[in-house]
Amino acid sequence: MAKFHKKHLNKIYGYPIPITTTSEAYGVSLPEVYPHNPISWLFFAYKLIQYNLSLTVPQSEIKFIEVELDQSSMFKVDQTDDVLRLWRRGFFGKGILSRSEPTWKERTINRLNLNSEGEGGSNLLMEDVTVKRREGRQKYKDERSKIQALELLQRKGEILSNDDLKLLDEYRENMAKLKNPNIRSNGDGDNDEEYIREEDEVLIDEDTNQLISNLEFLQLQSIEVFFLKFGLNVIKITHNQLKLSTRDLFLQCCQLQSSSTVIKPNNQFIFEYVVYHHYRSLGWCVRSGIKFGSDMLLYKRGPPFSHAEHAVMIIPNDESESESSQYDWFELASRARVIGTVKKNFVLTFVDYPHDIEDVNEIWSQVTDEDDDKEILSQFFKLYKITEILYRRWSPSRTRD
Amino acid sequence: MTKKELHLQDEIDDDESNINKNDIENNYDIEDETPDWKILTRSLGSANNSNNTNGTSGIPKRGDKDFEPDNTDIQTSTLQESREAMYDAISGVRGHHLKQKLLSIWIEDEEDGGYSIIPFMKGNYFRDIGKAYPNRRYKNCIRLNPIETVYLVERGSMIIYLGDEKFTNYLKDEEEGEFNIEEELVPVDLELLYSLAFINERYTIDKYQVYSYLKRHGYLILEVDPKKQQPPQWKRLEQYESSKGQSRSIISWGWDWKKWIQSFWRPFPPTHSLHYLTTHYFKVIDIFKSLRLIPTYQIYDSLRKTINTTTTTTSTTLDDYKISFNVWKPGSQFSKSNPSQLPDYQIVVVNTDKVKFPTLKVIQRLVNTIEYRFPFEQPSQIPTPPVIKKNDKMISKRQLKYDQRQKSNQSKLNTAQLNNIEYLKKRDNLLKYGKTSKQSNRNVVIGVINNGIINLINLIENEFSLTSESVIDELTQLHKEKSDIHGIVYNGDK
Repeated sequence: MAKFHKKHLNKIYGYPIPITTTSEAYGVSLPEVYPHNPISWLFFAYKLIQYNLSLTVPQSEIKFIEVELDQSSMFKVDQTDDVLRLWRRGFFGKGILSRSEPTWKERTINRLNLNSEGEGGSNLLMEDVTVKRREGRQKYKDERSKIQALELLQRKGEILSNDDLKLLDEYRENMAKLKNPNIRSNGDGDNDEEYIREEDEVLIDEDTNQLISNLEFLQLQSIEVFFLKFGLNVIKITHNQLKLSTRDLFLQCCQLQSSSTVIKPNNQFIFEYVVYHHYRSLGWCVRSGIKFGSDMLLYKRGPPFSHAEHAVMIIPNDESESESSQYDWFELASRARVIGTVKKNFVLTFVDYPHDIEDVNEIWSQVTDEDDDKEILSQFFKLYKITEILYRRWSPSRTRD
Repeated sequence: MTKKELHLQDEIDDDESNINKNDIENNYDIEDETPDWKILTRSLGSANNSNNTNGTSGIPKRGDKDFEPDNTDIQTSTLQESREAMYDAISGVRGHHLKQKLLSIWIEDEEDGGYSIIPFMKGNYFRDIGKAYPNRRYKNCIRLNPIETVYLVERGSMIIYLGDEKFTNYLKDEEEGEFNIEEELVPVDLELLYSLAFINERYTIDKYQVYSYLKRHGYLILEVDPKKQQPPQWKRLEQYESSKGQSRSIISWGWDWKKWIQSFWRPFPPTHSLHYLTTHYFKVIDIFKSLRLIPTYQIYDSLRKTINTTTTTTSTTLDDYKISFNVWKPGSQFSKSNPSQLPDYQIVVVNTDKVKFPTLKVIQRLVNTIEYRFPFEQPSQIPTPPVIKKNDKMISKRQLKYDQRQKSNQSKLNTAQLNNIEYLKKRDNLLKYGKTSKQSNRNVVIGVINNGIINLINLIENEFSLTSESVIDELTQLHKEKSDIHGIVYNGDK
């Protein structure tokens, strides 16, 4: 079961980044290279030349994902295939009507039983699983309390009748079954009575009995958008029907944090982006850590696979200022406590930043039209530096041996 | 889950092969657990209506309790029995055997505020406590610092007397006859001792609290002399690195070739916006490699910095942060006279009223002053003492099951797969603890005191990029093919 499930996940989420490799597009791969074997080198070079001449770079044929920055400074992705590509390849963004993965449409179809072909409900969604699991737990608890009541009678010395004893055994058996419920099997779900609210009727097209539209869209964090634009160049971003360049987007994002036109190198957006880029480039799936009082959470592959392992807190490294930091013991201890109880690792990520730059806009001053935005910004980001310190509570009673 | 299970879960989670162990459970965030208010109101309502007929209050039931009152006689009688056992234990005569009576004398001292001496050593407290105190009168005399003195007295293991001039003269001089400590000197009570002991900055009550807390857990502790300077670590690092030379660059030369060939078909470098639109990538990992942009700290960087700036800037803040204790675990092979084994923890004691959380600079300076053994200095083979498992009961059923399953799983795997598991374990340990099981990490423990309440935190230097030489060496041993890059990138297309 577990193995099947993992295979299933690997199939859906096989690629951790929204860039299509040549291997994925054409099913080809480069031969292995053995440093001490010159023939393998030649073969490698030959294959490389062959592929480069005969194949077009797949990424150039994929259309840009469309992101819109709306009036309320929200980054939206509307189109279903774009949303899927972003979610399945790197877990970017959040569906505004769902817990994280945008599943509203599917859930609604399941709920309203709009799939007449009978395939409805074949894939159980995360939210449904939660509901089922809760029901299962409740049943388990009910069964347990029945057993406990009988056991109490036994302890009190009141002799139980044979019927009671039989009942007790039966309950115990039931409880053992309920302990490991098979949530993903879709047994009794179909008996649920279909229940349509008044407002649901607006959603359904009367002629075709289908959902009229998908109300849900994907919302992205500014750092995610900037990574997709600056780091990977896979999106096209518009604001008031105008296309934004990487540079425009950078300035926009910085100004989301502080409205002044002067952008300091210790702008919060830049800190967050630098850290985000760092962990993304190392292969981590980075998502917001607001739920645990930290800045970011690091997942090894992504939310469907495992819990986040690390919680990151970003600390600007202000060496110029006084030697004691602005953080006090209490704040850090409380964060560490929360993060510790959910079995995550607390990482303090210190960011060094350039102190000699007054205004980040300076970096554009000597730029000609031919210079690439990404190259200039890359040079700028290289002035930052990341240092990680782990913060861990030590309880001496647990480490005695 | 109970604490033990959580702890166990931690260990299990270290193994990546377990990622899908409970995958249904694992898919959900903690905040799923919103309360169901219906249940609450229902139980409250029923309690109000039925006037507590069955003895339950209106509080909803939450899980199992071990000794929940069920109004049976068995429960009350068991309770009574254990209560009596406790009274029996307490009412036994308490006291010290005359043979074990430990005497000490407090001696005032200009420099450190004072210390105590024990003329006749008894008992086994002295594995880590005390230093030899050579004098003319007593042969095996031992000197205790104020913290050690207070600890033994407060524990009820030692009686202390106030030394006077006559006694100090007696110590210096071998002429006079005997000196009866108990008759001629005044005993000091705990209250007075506290005021005598903690008048100096070197021995504060904060430090004593951390010390006694750890002692009671059985740890072995030595004070770190603040005047004694550690021989600088960087000298050893410098020596090693210069002796090692450029052997690495020759090895990695081959890999550069590959990059070089590929770069022919890179019309734009990775820092150009058109790069991914114009370059063929065959492996996902290469895309991630090309994304690396932000410079990162590598282990020993801060140490290397100190090589270049040899001036020791002793600022006031660092003085607040100084290692005060070296701590060894209770089971370690430790001897006071030859503490060759590195301490397990090195502790700084600070008070929240005086000191704020350290900056990165301070943390790094602290870490650079600990006693540390570089990976290249690891003694090749120390015969580790056989681990005696005292409490077999502690191993839960779950652990046993897990162990068995692990064993049967491992027997099915070939060596390459086992190696891979080992590699993943090492990699995750490096990320989680900044160390592999053998190697020690660069860390420091800070004992934070707030009005007598202790919080111990461990700050560990780490690098997620896994690019420093020592880390690469460690990981490449197990995974030769990965010698150019280590990380967590999922290689689905491999």
